[in-house]
Amino acid sequence: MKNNEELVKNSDLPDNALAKTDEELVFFVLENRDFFLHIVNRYQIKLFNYVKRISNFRDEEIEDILQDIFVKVYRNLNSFDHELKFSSWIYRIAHNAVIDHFRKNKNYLDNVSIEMEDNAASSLADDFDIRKDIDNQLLRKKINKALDKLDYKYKEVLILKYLEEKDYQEISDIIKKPVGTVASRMNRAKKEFKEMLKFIDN
Amino acid sequence: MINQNFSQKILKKIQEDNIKPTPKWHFLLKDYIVWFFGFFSLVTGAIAFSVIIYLIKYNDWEIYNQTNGGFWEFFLLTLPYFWLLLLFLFSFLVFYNVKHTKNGYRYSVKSIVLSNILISITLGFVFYHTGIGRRLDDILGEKVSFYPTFINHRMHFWSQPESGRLAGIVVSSDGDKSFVLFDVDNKKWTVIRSDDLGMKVEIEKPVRVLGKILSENAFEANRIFPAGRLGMGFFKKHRENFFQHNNGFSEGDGMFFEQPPIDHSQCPLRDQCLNK
Repeated sequence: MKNNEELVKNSDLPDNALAKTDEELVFFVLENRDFFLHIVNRYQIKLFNYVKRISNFRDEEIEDILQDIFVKVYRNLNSFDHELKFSSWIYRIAHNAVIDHFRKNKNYLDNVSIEMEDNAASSLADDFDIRKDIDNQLLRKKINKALDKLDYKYKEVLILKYLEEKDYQEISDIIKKPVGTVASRMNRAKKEFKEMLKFIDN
Repeated sequence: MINQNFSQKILKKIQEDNIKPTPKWHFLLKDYIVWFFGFFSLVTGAIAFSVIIYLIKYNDWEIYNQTNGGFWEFFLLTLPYFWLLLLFLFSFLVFYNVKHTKNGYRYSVKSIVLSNILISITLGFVFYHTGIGRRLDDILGEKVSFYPTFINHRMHFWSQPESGRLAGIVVSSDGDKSFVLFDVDNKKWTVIRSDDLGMKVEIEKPVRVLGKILSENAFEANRIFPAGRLGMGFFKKHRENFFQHNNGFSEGDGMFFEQPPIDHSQCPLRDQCLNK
C-alpha cells in the first residue's frame, strides 16, 4: 500500500500545493479542478481505513464507496462550512456513504465484524487496562470480538475516538449529534466494551 | 488495499462525467428555505398560542358550576383542541426545521424544545395583547364553515340542548315570556323563560341559555347569558345567514315566528301551550 506522501509526490500537480491546508485547498479546487487530486491523495488511505473499520466491506467494495465519497465531496465543495474542520466534513460524507451502502444492500449495521490492525488494537488496549503482555494477535482478536458484539452506534464512536483519534467536537460533526449525546454515547460504549471484555475473559 | 492510481481515476471520472461543484447559491437557498419554514412555523405556533390564551381567558369559568358535570368535565369539553393540535404541529415543524439547518445537529432535543416553548409563549402573549388571537377567532368564525364543529369547541359545548346548553341568535321575542332562538346547528327553538330571569334579550343578538328541553322545538331557560366573546365572527355570519334566508322577515323587526306567538294567559301549563 502506498502512503499519501508517495502518491502526492508521484502526481503532477501545481507547486506549493502540499503546504496548503485542507481548507485552503478547497478554495483552489473551486478555481482549478486539478487541485482536487491533493484532497484525494490526503484522504484516500485515511478514509479507506475508516470505511473498512466501520464496515469491514471487501476492498473492491470500499474502493467503489470511496469513489462515490470523493465525487460527492467534489460536487458539494461549495457547501463546505468553514466553521468545521475539513476532515470532519469529509468523514461525515464517508459516514453517510457507508450507512447508505448498508441500507442499499439491506445489510444490518450491527452485524459488522471489525478488522483492526495491531497499532489500533494497542491504542484501544491502552485506554481500557487490557493486559499488555499477551500476544498482539490475541489482543487484536479479543478486542475485535468485543467490538463485534457492540451496537453499531457504540462501535462507531469508539472507532472514531481511539482509532481515528477524533475529539468529541469532531465526532459530533461527523455523526451529526450534539456533543452531549456523543459524550453519553461514549460513556455507554466504554461501559459496554469493558463488560464485553470481561465476558470474553471469563 | 487501495489502487495506486485511485486519485487519477477519480479525477478522470470527474472530467469524463463533466461533474461540477454545485453552485453556492443552491446550498444557500436550501438553507434559507429551511430557516424560513422554521421561522414561519414558530410564528404560526405563537399565533395559535395567542388564540389559545384568548379562548381560555373567555372560557365561561364563572359559570362552569352551573353546567352539568364538574370542573374537569367542563375543562375537557371546552379545551381548544384545534389550536392545541396546531401548536403541537407547528412546534414539531420548528424542531424539524431547526434540526435540518446547517448546524442544527449541534443542539439537543431538550434545548430546541425548551427554546421553542419559551419563544412561542413570549410571542404568543405579544400577539394576544395586540389582539391577533381575538381577530383570528372572529375571522375564522366568519369565513370557515367547520368553525363551530372543529375550530372553536366551545360552540359545540353550547349546542347540546340535551345537556341543558343552547346558544344562538335571538330572531324574535315575545316580551319577557319567550323568544325564538336560531341555534348553532341552524335549528329554531322557542325558548320559554322561567320567571324573573333578569336579563332581557335583544333581537339579533347572540345569547347562551342554560335549561332543559321541553319538546322537540322548545327549551326552558333557567339562566340566560349574553354570548360575550363567544364566537363573535361566527354569530355575525350566522345572523346574516338567517336573515338572508328567511324571506318576509325584515331584519330587526322582531316579529318573526314560525307559529303565532304563544299566548301564555290561555294555558296555565306550559307544556299544553307548546303542544298546541
